[in-house]
Amino acid sequence: MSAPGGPSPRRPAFAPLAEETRAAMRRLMARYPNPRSALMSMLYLVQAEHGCVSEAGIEEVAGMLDLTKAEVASVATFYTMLKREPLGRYLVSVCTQPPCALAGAGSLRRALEEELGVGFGQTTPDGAITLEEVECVCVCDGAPAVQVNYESYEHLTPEAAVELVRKLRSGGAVPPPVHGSVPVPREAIHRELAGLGGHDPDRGGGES
Amino acid sequence: MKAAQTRVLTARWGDRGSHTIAASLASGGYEALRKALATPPAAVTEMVKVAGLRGRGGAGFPTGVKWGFIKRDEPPTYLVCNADEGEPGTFKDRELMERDPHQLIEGMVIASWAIGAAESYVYCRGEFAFAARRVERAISEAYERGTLGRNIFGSGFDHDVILHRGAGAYICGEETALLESLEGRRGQPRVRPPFPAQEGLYARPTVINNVETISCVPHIVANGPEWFRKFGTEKSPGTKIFSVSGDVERPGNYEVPFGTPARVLIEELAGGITGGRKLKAYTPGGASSTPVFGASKLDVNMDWESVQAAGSLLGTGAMMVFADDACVVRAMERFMRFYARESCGKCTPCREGTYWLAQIMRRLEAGQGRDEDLDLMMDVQANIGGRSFCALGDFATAPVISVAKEFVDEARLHIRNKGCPFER
Amino acid sequence: MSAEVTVTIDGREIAVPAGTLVIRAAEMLDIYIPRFCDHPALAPHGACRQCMVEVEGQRKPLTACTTPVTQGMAVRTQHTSEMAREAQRGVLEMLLINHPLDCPVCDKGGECPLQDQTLAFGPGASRFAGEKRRYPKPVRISPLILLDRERCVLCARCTRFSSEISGDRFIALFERGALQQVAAYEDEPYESPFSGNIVQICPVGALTAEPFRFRARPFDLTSTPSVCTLCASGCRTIVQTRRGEVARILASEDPEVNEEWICDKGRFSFPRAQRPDRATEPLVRKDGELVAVSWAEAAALVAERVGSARERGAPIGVLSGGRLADEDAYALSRFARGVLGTADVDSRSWTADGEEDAVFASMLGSPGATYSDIEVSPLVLLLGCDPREESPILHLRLRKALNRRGSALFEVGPRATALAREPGARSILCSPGTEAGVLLSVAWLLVNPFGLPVDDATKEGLSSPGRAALRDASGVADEPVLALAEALRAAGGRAVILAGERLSRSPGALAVAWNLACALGARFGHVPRRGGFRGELWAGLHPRLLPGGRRVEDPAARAEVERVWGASLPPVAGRCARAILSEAGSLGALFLVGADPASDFAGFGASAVEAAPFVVAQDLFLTESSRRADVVLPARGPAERAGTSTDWEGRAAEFEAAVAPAGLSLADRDILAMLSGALGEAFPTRTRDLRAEMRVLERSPQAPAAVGAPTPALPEPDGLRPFSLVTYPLLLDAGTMLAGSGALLEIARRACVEMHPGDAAALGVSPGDPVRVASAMGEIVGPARLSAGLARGSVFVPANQEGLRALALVDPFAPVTAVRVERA
Ligand SMILES: Cc1cc2nc3c(=O)[nH]c(=O)nc-3n(C[C@H](O)[C@H](O)[C@H](O)COP(=O)(O)O)c2cc1C
Ligand code: SF4
Ligand code: FES
Repeated sequence: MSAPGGPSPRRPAFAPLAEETRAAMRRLMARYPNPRSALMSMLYLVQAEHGCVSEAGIEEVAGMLDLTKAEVASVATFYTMLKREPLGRYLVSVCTQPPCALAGAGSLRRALEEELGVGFGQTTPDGAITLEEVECVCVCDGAPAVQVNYESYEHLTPEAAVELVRKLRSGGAVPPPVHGSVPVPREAIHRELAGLGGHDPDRGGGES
Repeated sequence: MKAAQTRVLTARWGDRGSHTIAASLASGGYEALRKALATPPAAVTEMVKVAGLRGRGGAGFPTGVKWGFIKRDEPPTYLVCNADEGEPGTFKDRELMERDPHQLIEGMVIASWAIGAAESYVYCRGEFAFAARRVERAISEAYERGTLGRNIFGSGFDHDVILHRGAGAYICGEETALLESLEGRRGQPRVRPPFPAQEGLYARPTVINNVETISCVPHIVANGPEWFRKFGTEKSPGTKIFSVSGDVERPGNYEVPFGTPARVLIEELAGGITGGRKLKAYTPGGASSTPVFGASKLDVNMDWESVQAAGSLLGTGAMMVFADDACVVRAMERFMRFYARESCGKCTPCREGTYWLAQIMRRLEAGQGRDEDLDLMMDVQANIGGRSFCALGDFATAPVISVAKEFVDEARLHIRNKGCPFER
Repeated sequence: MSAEVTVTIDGREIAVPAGTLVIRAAEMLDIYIPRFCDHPALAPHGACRQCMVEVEGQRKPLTACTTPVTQGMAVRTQHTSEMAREAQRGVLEMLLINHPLDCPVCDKGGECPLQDQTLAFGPGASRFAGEKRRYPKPVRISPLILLDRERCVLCARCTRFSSEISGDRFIALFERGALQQVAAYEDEPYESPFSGNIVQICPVGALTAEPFRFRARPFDLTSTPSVCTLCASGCRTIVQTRRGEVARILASEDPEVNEEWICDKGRFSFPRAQRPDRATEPLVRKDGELVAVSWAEAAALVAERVGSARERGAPIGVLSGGRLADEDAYALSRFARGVLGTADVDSRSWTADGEEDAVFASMLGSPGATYSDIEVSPLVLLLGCDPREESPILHLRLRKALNRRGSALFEVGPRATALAREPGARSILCSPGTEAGVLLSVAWLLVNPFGLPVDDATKEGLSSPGRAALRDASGVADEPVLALAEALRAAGGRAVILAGERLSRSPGALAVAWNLACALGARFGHVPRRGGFRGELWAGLHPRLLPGGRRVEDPAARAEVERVWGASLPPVAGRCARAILSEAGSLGALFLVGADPASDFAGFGASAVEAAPFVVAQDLFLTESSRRADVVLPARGPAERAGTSTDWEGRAAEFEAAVAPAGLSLADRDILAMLSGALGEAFPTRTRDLRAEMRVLERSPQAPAAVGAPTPALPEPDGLRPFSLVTYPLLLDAGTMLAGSGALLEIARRACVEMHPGDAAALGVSPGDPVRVASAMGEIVGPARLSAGLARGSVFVPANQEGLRALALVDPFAPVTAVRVERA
């Protein structure tokens, strides 16, 4: 897709989607009176497999839904959870809206940037973590809040945040959030966002 | 603590495993559905009308009236639950889904019975992974127990609930943008007319209701409209969940009858301002509160009519609290940035106006503002408010109006100091 | 919707149908409310907010383009309301904060509503002191169209046109908020034969067309209303000239015809500079070379040769080719029959023995289908026509019927058209040449279980023994035939049957289709490919028809014409083009008036032109045929002469000359008058006189009458060549009129050999593989393209694409050309 303001940066070429992924997409399409409703879910599946909404994925989805690539890209570029650059294994999202800002989101951000050596919108060179800014994830009662692959960690101190990303990077056991589930890696969470699986009773039934 | 909550929607929240169907059934869950399915649909709608239930998504539109617009005789019709909660400061719908998803599903089936919908959708904000997981699990439990699916409670009524996750766009909380998104398109609002009640999802008659709104429904059906009206005020009946956050000791969701004074919520339930500081400001209704209230408004009763009479809007009931060392200009600059990023881009005033205002406010906050900027900001916001395609544009005027109306001295201080005079 | 409501706008009252938008109601009162996103042909959008007005009782201004009027509504526009003025001024300021100040170099300068409104009541200086949005410029979204994003006001007219009107959804809004922008996907260019329309409806200079970009200022142009004659759609245009040359062609509005669209061929294919192959002076062959001579010399030579042919009793053939204005066509018919005394006249490139005349004769004298009929018809049956390629505006109207009105469409033929993808459309694929069998089966069902009353001739046709065999040969299953019959029965007289000129090549099919329409009381439309055809047919440029659709064998009809012409007419039917050409060697003279048989009939045509002892070519260009002629008489081109043009509906429109003629060229009618003079025969010399005669010869309309039993023929299997060739020219091809149209030709599709995936698999052919197609006439090799929209056993090759011309394969003597297909 053309990036705003210029030619799109070079992006790795991705293999065609796996046959299972296509089969899953067809199941998603069948869920709705109009298959196009599955478009965003299908793009999540592309993200699960390629780490971002790849050009190969856009082409496949367009073909399956009988849309042009322009139509698919038009949707893909509208939503912030659909990414154009490959995500790290974990996406760490720091909320900077007032409740979190008042509670110290600024120092969280600085600590994380220092620890990871990357800024908002960037991914660590080892591909483990993508850091981003978000606009209120509506866990203001847990400010400052950070999401890791969309699981919320509340009341984080800069030290706890650094500890958390170290564990995420090293593959060690990650502390559970105050309520919610332990984050799963990129592929699993995007499959779940697509509407596939995820209602695993244990994960859904975690501590509240 | 002097005050206590009035737990109707949040009654099960303290229970262990409150999100499971076992816990729900053990405490009377789905009894209202059984009762509703034995009541003619029109009578269910009537009950909701008489109860005076008003939409909790922000606009306060009477829910029963909305249901009454639906022509039931031409199926299919749809119910869509708006679970896209994204207004900064609001977190009630998330917790309602996390802690009592069955209450929501029960409400959805009742509402669907009333409007004749065989299918309904929960449009859940994409970032709410945990809440969505809870809802998804609850849906499968409900199918297992027969409170969803074919022939519910032997009534002959079939109903399916489909969970649909968003992908990151605040505008998709706006009901017609939500429908576009649910149809796999860019979440940009639709022209009205036709209204969703005439041509909504897939161009069929559709009702869109907020999570909290729908969660009220089982209680109205179970206990009757009169019981519901015992809470709250004449014009704002029932209880309301207020999301209190910011500089308070115990941020959280608090359920109280409409009309409870803000002071009770902030000072008593939420434990007052942290660190013994003083209140400077609070939002009565999230980032879109136009304007934010100063400390003098602490005794405003939290219901639609009183907040409006005091000059602002109740919105979603999200109370972000700012202590006296917090910079309101900075907070408003953040809100402005939020709206600029979340503007969908469809209409000129909101797209260009938020782009412009975000630049002015950034300048102001950074101490590079000029005296004329205050007037310019007011002029620009006046060209957005009431002129934009949807209410996001109106919301986006809140930060400017708040600064100009209540905190203009702080703004001037930024200009004079060439920087922010506050700690935070 | 029929109820009327009364609304007051700026104090003036008007009654309008309920549901009318305020902006339209205001227009009816000649009150102009400024707008950017609103466009009457597009669904209400309400995005730019420029059209805000005050409505009594409303706290906030409302957008006039999305607000339907209600009874008693009182509206105040910017003329009378401070609120409306303020709101509009506010929006204008917002639109300008990110707009570049490049009006002096912008193509739109001078016809830009943003510029106009800013001048009229915009701010003098910008209060915006921040950072402007910038984009590297410009984006080439197709070879024809460029996009300057920073000029865009995001009205979405272009993207909405592409999804709502043309269906070519290759441009869309990308990103959101302040970064929102129009874009095409990187490797998916904006391919549309209607792309020029987005340039015309773009309210600012964001979209520009390569052929016009930076070439002229709108206010330096002279405009002449015109009619496009490149196909039979009948589009109204505006030809804009600068220093006597065409600079640009725009769509003009006619709600009954092209609404406000034209296709890219009509818009971009005018000859820009003098083309080297343009015929500008009379030429005569001397010692084997064509040399320039005076008109007098050329006319004298023609007169001499015609005179000697007549003395010898040698036949004279007259062919025309579909580019003539009605007056020229009439003059030619009058010249051929009245002056030359020949009946061997034809304007067709096909042969349909007998049955076609009866249909045409009745059709020319009775009311036929119109665009408006199509729009409101619940069911259209489309036969032998690919509207997107052959009549693009008809394609748009059919699309509108399907998408906006929920109509249904059935098409029967060997190749599915682009319409088959639209909602409510269904394609019944049959082997070429078997259309009559499918239609007879439909008619049979209508008569038998459904009890439709039909005339005897039709009944006779139905019981024709060939019917069942043809049905079998068609390869069509029972279900779609039944579905079509049921749909026709339900629609009855409200159905529309459209037959393209190619239907005539399928024996019997045109007559069955016509009779079906008669039996149902449905409207019938004949859609020729070329813009002049309908006028030529009316004029009698047909071996068996006289002006007005009079049949040559009818003595009373002949007498009517003889009276007007003061000449006696041969009572015999003439020969068709193919027959004339096959005996070209025995002709006394062959007249080619805008006809190019050497192209249209490929090798067969070229040898015929060579064989004819004396060839007179009246043409704009030195074509394959005129290059071989003995006399070339330069004719004036479309924008160079006034005239009348009749579209496929039979609707006539007059146009004026817009540019000076090339060289010494003359209008065809004037050339013919000159030749008559040289032959010593009287001939009307003024257009006015020709028109007067044409009016006299106009027949009063009669009810359409069923024609005699059709004569379907079973395609004969050819063991050596088991495939059937399907071919027709695409909209943008290697045709003469398009030569030199630069960027337009870049969007012409690359030709492929299209085949059914099943056939391809059987032959071991994969997409892109080179495939050889061989007929008795020749062979070609092209890359394979697989399409399920093709009947089994058929291959489609476009007739005249650069590098791959199926014309070279076509057997002029067989209704269907048999071919062998194999991997090359
Ligand atoms: C920009 C914008 C964002 C909105 N976001 C939400 C939301 O997140 N949740 C919600 O329930 N309503 C939201 N609304 C309100 C909805 O449009 C709609 O009024 C509501 O869902 C109706 O439900 P109710 O009648 O139950 O309140 C939003 C409105 C706007 C204009
Ligand atoms: S106000 Fe306009 S630009 Fe803003 S969100 Fe609504 S429609 Fe989109
Ligand atoms: S013309 Fe009405 S909003 Fe654009």
